[in-house]
Amino acid sequence: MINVSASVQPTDARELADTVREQLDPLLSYAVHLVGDPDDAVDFVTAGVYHASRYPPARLHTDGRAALYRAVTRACHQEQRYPPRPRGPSRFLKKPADGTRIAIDAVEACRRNTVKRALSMLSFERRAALLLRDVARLDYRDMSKVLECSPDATARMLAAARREFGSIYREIAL
Amino acid sequence: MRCSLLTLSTYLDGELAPERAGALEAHLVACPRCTDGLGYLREEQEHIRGLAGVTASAGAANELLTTVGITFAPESEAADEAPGPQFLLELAESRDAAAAAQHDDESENGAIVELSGSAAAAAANGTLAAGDAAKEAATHAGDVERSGDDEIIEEADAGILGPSPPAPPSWSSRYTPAMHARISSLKPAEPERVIPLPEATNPETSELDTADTAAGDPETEAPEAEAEAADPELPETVPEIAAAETTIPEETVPETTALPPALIAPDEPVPETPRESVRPAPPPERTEAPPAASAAPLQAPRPASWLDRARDAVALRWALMRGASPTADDLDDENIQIVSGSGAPSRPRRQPYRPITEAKMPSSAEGGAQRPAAMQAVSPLSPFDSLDMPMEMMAPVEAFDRPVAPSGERDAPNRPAEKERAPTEPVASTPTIEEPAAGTAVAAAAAAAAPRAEATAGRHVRALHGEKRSWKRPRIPGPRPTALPGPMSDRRLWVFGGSVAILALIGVLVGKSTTAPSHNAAGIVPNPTAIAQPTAPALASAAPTVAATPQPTPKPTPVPTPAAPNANKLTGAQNLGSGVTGVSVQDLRYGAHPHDFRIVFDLSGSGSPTTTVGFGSPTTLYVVFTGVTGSASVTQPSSGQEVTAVNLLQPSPISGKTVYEITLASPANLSTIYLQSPLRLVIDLTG
Repeated sequence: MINVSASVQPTDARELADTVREQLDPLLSYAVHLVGDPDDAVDFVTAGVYHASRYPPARLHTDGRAALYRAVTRACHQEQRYPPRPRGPSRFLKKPADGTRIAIDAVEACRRNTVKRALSMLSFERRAALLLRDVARLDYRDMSKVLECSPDATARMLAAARREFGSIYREIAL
Repeated sequence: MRCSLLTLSTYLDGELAPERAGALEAHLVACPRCTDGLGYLREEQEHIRGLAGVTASAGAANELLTTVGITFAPESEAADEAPGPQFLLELAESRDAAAAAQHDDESENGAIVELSGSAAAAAANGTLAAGDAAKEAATHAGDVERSGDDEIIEEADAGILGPSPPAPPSWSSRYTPAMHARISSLKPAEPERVIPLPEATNPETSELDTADTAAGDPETEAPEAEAEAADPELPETVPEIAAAETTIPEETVPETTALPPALIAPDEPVPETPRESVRPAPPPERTEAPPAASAAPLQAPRPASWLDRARDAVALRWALMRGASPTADDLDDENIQIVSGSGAPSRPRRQPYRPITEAKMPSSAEGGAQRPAAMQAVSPLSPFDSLDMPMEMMAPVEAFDRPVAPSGERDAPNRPAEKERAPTEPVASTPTIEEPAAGTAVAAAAAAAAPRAEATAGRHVRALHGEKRSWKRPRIPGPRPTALPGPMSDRRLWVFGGSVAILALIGVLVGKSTTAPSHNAAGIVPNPTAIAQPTAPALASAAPTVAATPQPTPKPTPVPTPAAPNANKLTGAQNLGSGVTGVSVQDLRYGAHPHDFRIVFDLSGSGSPTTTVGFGSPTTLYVVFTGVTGSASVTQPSSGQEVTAVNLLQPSPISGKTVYEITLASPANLSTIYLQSPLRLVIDLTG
């Protein structure tokens, strides 16, 4: 099937923009803890917002938040950045694009501690599930949209993530 | 109910069904295991929720939205676009004050009503009915009282359609100079539209002064508007306004649609009409020169580029070819030089019009006999042979016999410059022919240039015609070069390809010299000078990205070699590990426990490297790793703890081994163990 989805309509752009403004800090926190690097997190969040604006959900009012987290999660997983980095030999002939980088305060979030060490040992999906639930405070319905699985699978993944995180944390904690 | 972590987790998140939640709560009362598990889950959840958040700057969201291209019109734009509502609101507010200062004389005699704002402009342009414009403007006003709106609309309609005696005082009468100034300040860029009203209004048309009539039926308003221009009883100003504002062409005005004059008031809205009928009226014909030409500022002459010069040269050639047909008498030096002057391609003409027949060209006997010998040597065929001009453009043979105007009258402006080039042009083309071979056109031309060689009729033509390709590519004696077929033989293509290759090479070299932007968290580029400091810990702690930068070689400073701890002489030495290599020390952690003090080496990798831990002195503990890369930037213990200092001995006193020296505050006993996932060495100090 050919995806012929158009960009976000002007009527939806306002709603999407409001959602982005409202969720920007949680999105950035989620991405920073998910990937561990604030610069990468900004790139991934920007790419996710761009993807969400290109392929907005049908019900932006109800699904906009989940769509944003889903796009950001995909961008973090696939390392999609915005603006995209040049690839191939052409990057030698191009000047590196000066991507607009928003200023964030992520000093505390980047400080390594036992929790972050334990989180970094989880797989990406389990780490995302934990962060979506406990940092982004998404419910299982939205988490299932973000993780692209059913709510039951989301519950199982979250329980497994908690079990693994608990075992690692208790082991490395003094 | 069975003990289930999934159920506990779901219950913790509040996503468990109520009946199952009740059953679980009952189960928790009797199951200490699940109670402890739920406690652990709660604790870990709090840990994760305690992770520090990220705070974006104030304008980060807008900047991000702008970056990804999400744009939308702000809500305030709609109100800003239409100053009409403000005007109407001000009208409503100043109604009482304006009523006190009525200008009855203006309202009776026909006041000059000036409309401003988009609504009035739309009404005047005929794109929006006046009533609709006022309604739309009033709708944009937002929180305006409904009654006041309606009243204003009615008043506006009445004013647009013209004052009527039974109607209440029109808003034009309440239009004060202060309001005019306010309106003018709303949109200073827009030209004010002065619409004179008819001096005499027809009382019979007062019943038509309603908003409905103003809005109008499009089918009936077109004839009304058309009748506007056709009514002879209107004042003189009205047809002008009708022609300028409604722009109804005269040919579309039916004579039978005569309507009362009030319907053709100047502000009468015009329904949507086809574009053809709303074409702007043509401006009056001017009998004098347009002043714009003289009033326009003088433009500085633009320097002629080579393209302009080439275009002028071609135009000159074309004019010469078309304007005056050269004859045999006209084939003098000047004519030849003119057409081969500036801008004329130096290369011979292209292939499609290459065939030249003798019938179309003057014979060498006619023209060549009158030309100088030097010119014959260069161009024995014809003066037009040097033109890069199609043969179809050239004058026929018959034209050469016609008398030609004096050359001074034809191309006097160009003559001086061409005369200057006259002696040099033919010679300039000769270097392209080197070492003429016998039997070629050049050889024939050279033979014709000899003073004793008498020109034979058609000889040069035949020679050149037979060897015409020699003009394009002179033959060189010897083995012929391997000619590439088709466009590959064009030398320009090779020049272009070479240029592209050189540019690509430069691009690759420049691109390689640029380094990718660093993505470290703080965005700080390490200072190479700081790296150059000859301190050993700084060198050891240099990040891998720093290693890519050229580091100046530090001067070898005398570093005192630490005392080599002999592994065999360590007191209480403990050996552990299975000999795994490739492990590196990540960090050290310390923890005070009720019965011991714990030191943890966080190691990367898996397995257990060979390690010897023992006391060199009662308060000095040595940890000797084999096959482990040490890190000098480990966390130092805080003051007041059992461990006072931890140092990585550099250079290592034992070759091939990494030695950490741990200074203790007091003698202690030793206990070591390796833990996996993640790999770490735990040293417990007791006593």
